Amino acid sequence: MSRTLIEVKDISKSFGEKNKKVPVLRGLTFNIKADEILCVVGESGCGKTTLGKVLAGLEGYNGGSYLHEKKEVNKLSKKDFKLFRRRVQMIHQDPFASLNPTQNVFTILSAPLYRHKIVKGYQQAVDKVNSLLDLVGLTPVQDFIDKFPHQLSGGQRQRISIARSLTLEPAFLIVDEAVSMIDTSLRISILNNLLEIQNKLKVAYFFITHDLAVANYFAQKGRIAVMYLGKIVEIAPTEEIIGNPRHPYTRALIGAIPEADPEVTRQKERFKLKDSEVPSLQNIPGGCAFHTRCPWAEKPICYEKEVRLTGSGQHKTACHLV
Amino acid sequence: MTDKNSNTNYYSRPGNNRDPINNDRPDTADEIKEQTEAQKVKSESAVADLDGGDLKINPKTDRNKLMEVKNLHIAYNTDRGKLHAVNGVDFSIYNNETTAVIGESGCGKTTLCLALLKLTEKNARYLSGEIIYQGDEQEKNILKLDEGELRKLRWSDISLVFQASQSVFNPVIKIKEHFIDTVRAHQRGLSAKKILKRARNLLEQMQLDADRVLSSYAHELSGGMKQRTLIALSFILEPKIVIFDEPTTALDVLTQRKILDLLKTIKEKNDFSLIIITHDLAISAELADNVATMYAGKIVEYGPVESIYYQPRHPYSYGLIKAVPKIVAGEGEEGLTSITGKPPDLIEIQEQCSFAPRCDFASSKCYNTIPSLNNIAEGHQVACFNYQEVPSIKDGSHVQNSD
Repeated sequence: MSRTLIEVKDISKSFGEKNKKVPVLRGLTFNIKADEILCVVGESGCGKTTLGKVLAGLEGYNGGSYLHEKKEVNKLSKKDFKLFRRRVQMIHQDPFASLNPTQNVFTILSAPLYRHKIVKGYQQAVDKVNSLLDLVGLTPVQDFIDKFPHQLSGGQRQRISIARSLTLEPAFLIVDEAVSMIDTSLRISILNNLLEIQNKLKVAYFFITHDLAVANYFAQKGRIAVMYLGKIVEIAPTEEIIGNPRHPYTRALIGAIPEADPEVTRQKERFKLKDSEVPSLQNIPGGCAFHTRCPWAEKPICYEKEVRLTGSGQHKTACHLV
Repeated sequence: MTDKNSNTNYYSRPGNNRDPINNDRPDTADEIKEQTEAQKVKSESAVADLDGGDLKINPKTDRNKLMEVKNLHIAYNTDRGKLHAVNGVDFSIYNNETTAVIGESGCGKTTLCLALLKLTEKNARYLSGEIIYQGDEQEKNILKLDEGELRKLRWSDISLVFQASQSVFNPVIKIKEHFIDTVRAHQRGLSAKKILKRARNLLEQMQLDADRVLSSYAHELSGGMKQRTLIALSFILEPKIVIFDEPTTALDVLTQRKILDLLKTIKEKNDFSLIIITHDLAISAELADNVATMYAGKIVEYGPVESIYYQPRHPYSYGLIKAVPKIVAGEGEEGLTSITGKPPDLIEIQEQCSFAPRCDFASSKCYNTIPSLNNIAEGHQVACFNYQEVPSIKDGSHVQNSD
């Protein structure tokens, strides 16, 4: 068993002014081990990107605790925080917006190396950049090192983005929908590249996606957490959650996904919800927040009593009825 | 596809006994028609002899061509030269069938579909080819029509739901005005009440609260609601062909599911042809009767959905299908691979199979001859010299259906 890298306990985050608070994260608890993959899935607006930003230190949090290497991130000293920045990196969704169009690949990749004094001098920087490009599969390296982002395809840009996040030798990578804007034919190679990198560098991934099929592929050996309105409703090892989903929301998500197989997709068992619209975050239903859409919801328990993530072992569910 | 009944049972929600497709629909349709008989006579006969879903179970018999694209070449004038976005496409749309056009971004699928309505950008040049539409009594070549004739054709015969449907609605007018404007552009003098009755009917078929939607502005609706409203709007003039460009991209899984289900219901209860442009192979697997794979401006494979997904014969179709992760337990976890390399620059004219540099099955012939689209089985066409070497994805499962 490897050591625990990230410990999140009852973390919460809200945006807005005092009387108009919009809660986005409403008490999440989970751990991530040093070489683990945790995938987070959920609909847009469920808070998965905000959670990613909080974990990356780009957003603060209002309540609960977030321990990185046993240290509370909110209370890190300046020196420790600089180290935290090096250890935790984020890969953004849109490779067209996340790279500076006026810098070439070498400048993009070498800037953090100089900034954090990882390399001394030009030659070391070139060597390091070469090895990074090699690592993300952009070979031959000479073809790419002088290119500007507009000269690269979407998949290549995303690889640059991945290489940039690896410059500071992080231990924890937050990957926010990194393949959602990449063509189907290239998606798998980017995912495989990320898995290879994990194999070589033993990093931990926090992988955010709306696509359960991608999560299923990427976290084959990891875990999947399903989020709904700022809470984790189910968390379990991937095989468990796909093969034996317990929460009605997870069942609905799995049933709703179309498959690239005409017979399978047309005969797939669906799990129908009462309502397809997600409630507004400003007006989160009381009790179990999912009761407005849940076909199982029972009065009064689901309407009034808060749910907590419970369950034995690795498979935890937040539902009164399972 | 064979088991229609198992598909239908999850549309009807328990406790909701309202048929999502209203039975009084023909009434309202007739009302509109009464007013406009002089302008537009729909061929009743074509509608009458297509009954229910029978046609789709056995698509090979009784196929009526509604539209035929012949040797279409479209190039965009760019600073770098002519960009050949559509490079010799032949394909047909059949009455009451769903055709999906799949391919990577930049393969020309959107240009092709815009061309069906001659809606391409100003810098597009139609180098050759014709698009024959067999709408009413006589055939028309869409590319030869003038602006006025095109205006009549667009939306009333062929409607198009754009990719960025979220931004299609005019933000400063209410949804109901979109419906009224659209109908009046084609059928003058219709009362707002009649138009809204029809709109309400359609919105209810899309399981929306019609009154609320009609009196809203676009920003007051969620993404899924906007998409469903747009689908309702695309059906307001009862078109014969509806084109959806990436119908559910940028929507959440559950919203996507709802729209897919509604599309299937509306397709089952009505007669029209659907064209779906998508890069998502799962959506075409679910909706399509026929699939056309596009690569570098050409259709490289066309056939019934089961043939394409289980026995693809073009290495590119094969590669695409092998690259899609699945969620069924125990399947798809092994052997997912990407297609290496990248699509060719469409500005250079190639004297070879444009997929050859990325192809695992390429032989020397592929590098000096352009393969043409040939029939290899009934309704299944492939543009590949080595199609027999492409392995099957799944054996035998669809063979039972074809007899």
